[in-house]
Amino acid sequence: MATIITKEQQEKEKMVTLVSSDSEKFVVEQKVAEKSHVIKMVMNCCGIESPIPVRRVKGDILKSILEYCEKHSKGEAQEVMEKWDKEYMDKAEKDLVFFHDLMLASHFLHIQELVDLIAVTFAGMLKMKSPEEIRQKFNINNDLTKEQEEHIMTTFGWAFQPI
Amino acid sequence: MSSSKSDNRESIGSKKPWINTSPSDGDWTCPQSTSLTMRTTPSYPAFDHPPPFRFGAVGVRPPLPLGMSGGYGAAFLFRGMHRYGCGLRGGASGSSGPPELLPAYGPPGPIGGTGYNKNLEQDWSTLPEDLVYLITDKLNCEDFISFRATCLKWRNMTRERVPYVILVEFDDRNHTIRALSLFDIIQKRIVQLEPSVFRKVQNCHYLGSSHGCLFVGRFIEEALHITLLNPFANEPPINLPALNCQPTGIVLLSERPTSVRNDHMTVVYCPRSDGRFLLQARFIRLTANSDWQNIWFTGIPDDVLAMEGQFYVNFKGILRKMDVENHGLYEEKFTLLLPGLPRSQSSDPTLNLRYFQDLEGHLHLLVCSSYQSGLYAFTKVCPMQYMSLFYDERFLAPPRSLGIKRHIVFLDDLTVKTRFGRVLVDNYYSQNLLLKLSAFWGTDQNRFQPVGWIASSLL
Repeated sequence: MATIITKEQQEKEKMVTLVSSDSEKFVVEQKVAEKSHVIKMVMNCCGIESPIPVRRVKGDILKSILEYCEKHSKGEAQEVMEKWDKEYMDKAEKDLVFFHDLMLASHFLHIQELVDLIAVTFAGMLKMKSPEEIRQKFNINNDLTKEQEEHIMTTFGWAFQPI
Repeated sequence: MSSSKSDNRESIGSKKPWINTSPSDGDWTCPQSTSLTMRTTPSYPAFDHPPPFRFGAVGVRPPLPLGMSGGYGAAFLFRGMHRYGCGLRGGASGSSGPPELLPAYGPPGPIGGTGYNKNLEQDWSTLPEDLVYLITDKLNCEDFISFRATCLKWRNMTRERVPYVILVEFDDRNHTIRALSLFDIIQKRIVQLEPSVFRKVQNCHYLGSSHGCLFVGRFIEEALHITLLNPFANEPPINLPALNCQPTGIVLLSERPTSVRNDHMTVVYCPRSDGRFLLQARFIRLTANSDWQNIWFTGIPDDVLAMEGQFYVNFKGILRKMDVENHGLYEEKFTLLLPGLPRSQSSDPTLNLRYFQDLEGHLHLLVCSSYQSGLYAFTKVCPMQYMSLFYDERFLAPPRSLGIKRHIVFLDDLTVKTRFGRVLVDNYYSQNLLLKLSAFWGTDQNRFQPVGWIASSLL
C-alpha cells in the first residue's frame, strides 16, 4: 500500500503546472517543460511543487508551444518529426499575429529547436519579397531616410528587379 | 548595435531596483517588459531575456547565484504586462532609453503612417537581435538586401555582408602562399590578416575558399595536411587527416563549418596535375575516426563545384552530380549547360571566370562580357531544384534565377532563352568588380593574384 502511494507521488512529482498570462493552467510532464531552458532553470531553482506562472505568454501560445515540446520530448524518428514540424509551421504561419507571438514566446522561453524552426519559416516568408512587400505584409513603417533609400537603390537596385 | 549591447550589460549589473519592487505594485510600469521586443531598452534583468542563441548555445549562461532564485518568480509574476508589445507604452517611464524610438511603434493611437491600424501589438520591426541574426542567416544575398532595406531597426541590427577578394602572392618555386591579403571591394581597401592567421597560411598551398573559410594544405613528407580556417573568427582551425595526394587541387565543402555539429559535413578534395583534374577525387566525412575515401569519375572533369550541400562535376559544359555514397557519379545526366571554357582552359585573362559561385553557393553564369565597354552580365542558376525530389518550397524558396527552368540557351548578349521563355539577366555588381579586378591583378607587374573570394560571417 505504502509503496503504491510513493509511486503515485513519484508520478505526480514529475508533473509541473504552468500558468499562462490569462491564468490558463497547463499540467505537463517535467521533461516536456524542460524543453524550455528558462522553465528548466526556474524548476531547478524553485522546484515543481507550485505552479510556475509564465506571465509573458498567453494561453493559446503556451498551449501550442507545449504541444511542440511534448511532441519533441518523445524522441521519434527524424522523418516523422520533420513532417510534423512542417505541418506545425504551416498552421502557425497562416496567422501572423499568432506567429509573431509564437516566435517571441519561444525565444523568451529559450526553446532552441523551436526558435530555429521559426527562424527558417520566417526567412522563407521573406524570400523573394521587395522591401515594400515585406513592409506591407508585416505592417512595418518605412523609417528610412530619403538618402538611405537612394543609396540602397543605387548600390543594390539590381536585387529588386524581378526577372 | 554595440551601444545597445553595453546598455544591456549595465542593466544586468543594476538588478536592485527591480528586485525590490514588489510584484503587487500595480502602478509600476515595467520597463523590462519591452525587452522582448526592444533591444534598445536599457534596463531589464539578466534572466528576463534568454541567453543569446548561437549554435548550440544551450547552457552557455552561467547559473545564477542562489540568492537570485526569488527573482525568477518575479520575472513571470509581474503584473501589468499582458503581451509583448504592450510594455512599450510604459517604456518611457523610469527608463533612460531613447524615448524617441518608442512613439513610432509602441502606443496604440493615431500614427502618421497608413496601413498601421491593424495589430498594434504586433511590431515586427523590434525583434530581438539574436533572433534577427538567426533569421538573416537563412536568407540569401538578395533577400538579405531586401531585409536590410525594410526599416531602420532591421538595418541597424545587421551588417552588410562584405565580400572580400582573396589576393595571393605565390612563391615561384613550389607555388605555395608567400603572402595573402583580402581586398574589400566595397570600401576598396586591403584588409590585412591577423598575424596568427597569416602564420597558418604562409608556405601552404592554396586549395580554395568557400563558406567563409580558407582552405590551405601543407605538404610534409609526401602527405598533404589540409586545414580549414576562418580568417575572421578566433576559432581553432579544422585539421583534416593526412592525405597521400598532390598538393595542388581544390577543396569543396558541403556546408559551413561550425564549432559544433559538423557531423554531416563532407569535404571533397580534387587533386590537379598540370592544371588538369584527375580521374580520382577523395572525400571525407567529419565524423570521428573517418578517413579519406575515393571517388572515381568516368572521365577527366573540366571543373568541380559544390552547391547547396551537393557536389557537381563539369564535363564539357554538362554538369553531373557526384554520388559520394557510391564513390562515383549519378547515372542520370543533368542538362545544365555551362557557357564558356573551364577556368583552366580560358585564354582570355579577363574571362577566366565564365561561371562561378557566389557567397550563397549559387552558380553565376557569365552571359555576356564586353571588356571594351566594361559591360558584364551575369545570371544565376541553382541546380539543386532539378535534383531534389523532396523540394520544399517553404524551406528552399527558388531564388530569383533561372533555376526552375530546364534548358538554357544563350541567344545573344543579354537574352537567355529557357524552356519557359526569354529572360533578361541582371548586372551583378560585385562579380562585375571582381572581373575588373582580376583583369587588373592578373598582369605580370602585380605580384598579387586574385584567386577567389570570401565573406566574413554576418555579425
